[in-house]
Amino acid sequence: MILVVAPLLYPKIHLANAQNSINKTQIWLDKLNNIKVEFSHSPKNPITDTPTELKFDVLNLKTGDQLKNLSARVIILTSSNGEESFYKYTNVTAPAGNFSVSYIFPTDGVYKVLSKIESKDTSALTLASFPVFVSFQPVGAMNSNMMSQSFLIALLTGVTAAIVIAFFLIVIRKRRKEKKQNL
Amino acid sequence: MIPPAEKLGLAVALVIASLSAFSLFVELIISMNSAFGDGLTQEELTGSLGNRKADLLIKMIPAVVTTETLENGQKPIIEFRLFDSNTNQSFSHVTYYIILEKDGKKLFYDMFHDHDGDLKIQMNPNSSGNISITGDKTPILDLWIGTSTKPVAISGPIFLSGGLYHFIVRIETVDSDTAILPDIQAPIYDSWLSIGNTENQQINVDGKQVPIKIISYYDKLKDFGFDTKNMQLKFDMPFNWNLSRLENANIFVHEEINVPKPNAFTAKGGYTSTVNGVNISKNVMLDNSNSKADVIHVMLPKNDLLTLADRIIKDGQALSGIMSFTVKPQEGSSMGSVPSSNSSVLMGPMS
Repeated sequence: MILVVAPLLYPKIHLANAQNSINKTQIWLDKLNNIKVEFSHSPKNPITDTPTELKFDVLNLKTGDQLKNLSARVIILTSSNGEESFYKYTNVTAPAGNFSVSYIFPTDGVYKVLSKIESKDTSALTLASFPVFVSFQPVGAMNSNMMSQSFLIALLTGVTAAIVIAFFLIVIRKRRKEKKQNL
Repeated sequence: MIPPAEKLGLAVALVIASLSAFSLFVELIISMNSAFGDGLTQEELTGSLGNRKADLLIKMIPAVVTTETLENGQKPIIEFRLFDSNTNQSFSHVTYYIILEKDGKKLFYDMFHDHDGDLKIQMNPNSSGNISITGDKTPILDLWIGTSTKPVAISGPIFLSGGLYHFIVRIETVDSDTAILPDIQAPIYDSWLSIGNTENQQINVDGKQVPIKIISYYDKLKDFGFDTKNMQLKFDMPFNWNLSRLENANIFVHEEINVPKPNAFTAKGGYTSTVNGVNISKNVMLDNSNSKADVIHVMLPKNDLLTLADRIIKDGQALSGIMSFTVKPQEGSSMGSVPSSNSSVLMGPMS
């Protein structure tokens, strides 16, 4: 039974790992302009039809200080059935070096969040690109956060073992009952 | 009386000498126009994108752009073409992040896109306050689009002075408008293009004022002078003599001096020249195809600059950061000449 169940579960575990890796804070470096862009979102595991806040922190790569007086453009890009569609936020301003936009992802899948950020103080322009995984089922998102792969496998093994033991106990009980009745 | 056989031999010798001189001049002119140098009008820079070669051609159109031609309303186009030099095919959907600097100061920066990878930017120099860009933009990333038929235009205080302009170009996207290259994959190119700096000066030749024009295709000239007694022109140019810089750069220094004739300065039919006291007469070419003016070219290709730099560093002159030129008339009777239907060239004596 484990052998049957595990392969069926594997893609979901794999997906949860991919989701884990892109749903934490992502970093984009621009050494030419000496800029670091940190990207995160809330909730950490975005789901469809629920607002997600996409957050950007723009820092001086060497000092770690936030760059001031920014203007930005944020584009949320997805492709389905071979067609690319996008939604854009223009004229986003960030006097303190950080900014965010709120977006409701209409469908599940992997989105690309692009940003074009201009730092007027340092006369620099940078493009950055971040993947965001959006799930349809909130449960899937919970699994990826709360359970590690090994924990998930252990849990599944335990549940399967319990089912098998219960099955054998029922069979043994049935046989004993049948024996008693025959006597 | 010269015997006919000797006459023929002399004629053949003259033709061979003339052809040699002419071919050297042509070679220098060709290399000047196409050898992609620091201080020239185009550069071809090598790079890679993954396992593909990604060379960048940066080219000024037309090739000759000077402060004078710009003052007369010239609007040069700068072409940026990213291509795979193995196939000579341009990359598609190329986004160029271009920073333009002059003397270490950032003049402008912006992002430009061409779906066919062949970006054209028209420069409209004027003395208005700010630099402005006009043209179409891409819908997603809001990037300027500059095609052959509709180049994006940059107007404002740009190319107003001669000298070297430093282009820093980073490739932001290729193959797709939205496939942004991460920092470690995005090639960066450094290129220096030159705007010829035209200097109009007067020299006193035998009590008469003669207007001369000097065009420097490398950097702006300064400290012009003329010694009437020795009939010697002198002018200086900022120059970084650092050997490793010269070794790593494609470089060509070209100064052009237009002197109306006839007068005592042009009478000898040839010229000698020095740089920081070193005789460089072999690098002097005279175009006397125009009956009303001599055009003297002082051309220093990379190898000659390296030799010069080595000597100048040893002499302790390099720290001044100056390339100091002198040009004076020299008897040209012993030099090779190439008469043709519409031009003739005289070369300086080999030193």
